[in-house]
Amino acid sequence: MLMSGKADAKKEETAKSPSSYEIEESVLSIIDSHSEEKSPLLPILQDVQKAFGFISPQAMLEMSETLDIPLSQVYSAVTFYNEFRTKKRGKHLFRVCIGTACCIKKADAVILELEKELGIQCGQTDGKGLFTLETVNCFGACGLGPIVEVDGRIFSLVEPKKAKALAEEVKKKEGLQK
Amino acid sequence: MISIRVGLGSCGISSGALEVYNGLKKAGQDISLSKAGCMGACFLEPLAEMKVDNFETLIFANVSQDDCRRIIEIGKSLEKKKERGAQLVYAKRRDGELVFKNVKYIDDTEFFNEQVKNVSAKCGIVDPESIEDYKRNGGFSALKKALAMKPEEIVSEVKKSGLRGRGGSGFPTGVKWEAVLSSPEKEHYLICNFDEGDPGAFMNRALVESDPFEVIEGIEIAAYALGVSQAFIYTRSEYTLAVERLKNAIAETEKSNLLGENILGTDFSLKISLRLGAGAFVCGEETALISSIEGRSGRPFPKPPYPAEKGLWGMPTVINNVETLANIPAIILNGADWFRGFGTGPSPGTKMFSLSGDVKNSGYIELPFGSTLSQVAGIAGLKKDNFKAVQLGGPSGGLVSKAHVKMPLDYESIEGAEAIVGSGGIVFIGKKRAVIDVVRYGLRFIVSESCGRCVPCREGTMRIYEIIERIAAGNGTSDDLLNLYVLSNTIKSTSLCGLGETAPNLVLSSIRNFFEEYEERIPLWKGKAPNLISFQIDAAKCNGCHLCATICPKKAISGKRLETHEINQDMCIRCGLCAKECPFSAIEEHLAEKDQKLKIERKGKE
Repeated sequence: MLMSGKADAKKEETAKSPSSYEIEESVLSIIDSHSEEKSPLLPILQDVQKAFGFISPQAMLEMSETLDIPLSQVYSAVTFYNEFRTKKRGKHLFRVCIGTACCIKKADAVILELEKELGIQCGQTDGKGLFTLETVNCFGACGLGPIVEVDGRIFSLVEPKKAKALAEEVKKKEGLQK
Repeated sequence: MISIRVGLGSCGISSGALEVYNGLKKAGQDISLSKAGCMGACFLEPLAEMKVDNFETLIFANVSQDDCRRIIEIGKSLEKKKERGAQLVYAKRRDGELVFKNVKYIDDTEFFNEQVKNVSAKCGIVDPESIEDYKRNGGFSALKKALAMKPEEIVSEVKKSGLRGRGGSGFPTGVKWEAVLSSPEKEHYLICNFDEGDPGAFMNRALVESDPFEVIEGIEIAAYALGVSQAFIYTRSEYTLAVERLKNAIAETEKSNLLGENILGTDFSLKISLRLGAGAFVCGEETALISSIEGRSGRPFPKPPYPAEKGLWGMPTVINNVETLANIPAIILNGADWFRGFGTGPSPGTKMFSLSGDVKNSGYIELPFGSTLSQVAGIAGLKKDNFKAVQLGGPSGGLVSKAHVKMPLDYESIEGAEAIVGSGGIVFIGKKRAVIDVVRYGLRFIVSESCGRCVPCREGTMRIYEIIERIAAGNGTSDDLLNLYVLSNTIKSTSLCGLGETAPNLVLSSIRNFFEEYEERIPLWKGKAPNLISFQIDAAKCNGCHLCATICPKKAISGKRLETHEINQDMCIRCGLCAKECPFSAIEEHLAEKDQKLKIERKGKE
């Protein structure tokens, strides 16, 4: 699994990607900033993901060596928690809540609409790396469902119509629409 | 002087409260504008409250940017003792000189009139980012009182209050604390569990966003009582605003020498660290949470040893839900007897619930334990029976029907209906929805969140999800229901942790309370389904007390007093009430098909 992850990461490496030296440097400095905490693996993973957008095999190796934790334990944590990615997300992130209350308010229809608008399936990133569509279990704003989060901003009472407008707005920003 | 307060919780912000805040800032330079948390009424967001001189506070609901100018105009006219623009005012508070005679008081509206606000009393009133505001409203006086008490006195006061864990299990908090206090180890840890992961529950988020200092004060008192010098708050990373407010609250409290070294000049020192989860529902379970803080995958481990004996890094650890801890300051300040004045004998105090789904009024509410479901329906703005089902306690909870409207909401009664209080999520399901779809959503969540450690939960929940999918699509077979039933009970009794033990609740409660929805979807049966379950009276055990005949909702049980009774199987709706209530355990559940007998384990019995 890890090897295939490595291959994937390589494929995704573009001209802009940081060099392995840069990754090493910043991962080490993140580890350093948590040196006073006991068992800091999770906070470190969160910071690494914040810095790179995903957690690369090299970053995992770096953490395993510096913290003296088996690589398997690092990999297990990365793949166990929903928040961590081993692949890069698109520039714009759409997340639709599929908690019970949102489902009752027809969140499924919102997902279908966004899939149609963005031209990707739920859970995917488009070829240009512009959009990612994901589901999330609950934002905790159940009183106002369906809830959609676009680039960190939460929108309430999103009917398919409003979802379409949200998608169009982002597409406009990217110059994909008049 | 006009002062305006805008509710800036997540719900408010997602409805545009920030725009309103900025709009008000622009529209009137000479007003004093402040932030507040959320008072619970999500359906009224964005909310703004205006206080002019000594007049009563006016509340504006569903405010848009365009209303800002007019709100300030109303304030200015009031300063000149003129009452203009009454139609814009939603409600008012009884806190000053009477104005706008025809506007109703917020306490009299259907959403607020039955609520009892203890824990959430300051939510929506105080500025969640200002320690000064919290102190002005009586904050940290409980901590001062506690620091003058002996730790044992605090623990015994909490035990006397009968406070039970608000995270779902309902375990007496005082008993947990005692266990840690009496342990021989010197180093103890306290973890505040703010991993509110179940869909449909958001009252903890609202509480922390609106009154984070109350939580901090509760943690400090608990830490002092338990001899803890390092406490953790474990929170969901999805709750970004709550995390920000907690960080700010910790920093502010440290600055005021109310947290850190030698708090208020005493020997007591405490450090509170924030640990963010990474999106795993199972981490709300105590032992999984410990694994997660220790930097591993959040998988539970078997109990015993309980965390109170051997918890975080092998040391005795108390894990309390944030709402439990937020109850502590008031208990210390007002005493255990005051606390026992609310709620029922075995479930004292109040509980925050969140209301969502097919309701008119959504939001969080606080009610004393023992309030009925019909009261909650009333608060939600639903006419008596304008709903089909209610999901109590999230995906691990159960679905109850209209037959349960009189059921008091407390730990014992809810468990009797095969649901759980859980953390307090209440989702109403309207008449047009299919109950089986709700079961499907819930199971989809459980399957994706099962940690994979034990087989019954990992494999079993997947299989029941498949069966439910099949039945929902109309392709179910008559064997499916039987398998669903047997499998669910197996998962319930053999899983490692609370997630697995409660995972089949949705299935079991929906079979019990909404059997007809399953019948409709199984093509072979077409309305003449064989009775999957039947209740039969064991003649050898029946004493003829007639209790079952009295309580049977369908009057399907007949018999003379002191003689063996009988159940009319055609009339029986298999609700199971008689079997549960029979004082002689004479009524047993049978699987009619395949003639398989299953004794159902019921918590609290045997």
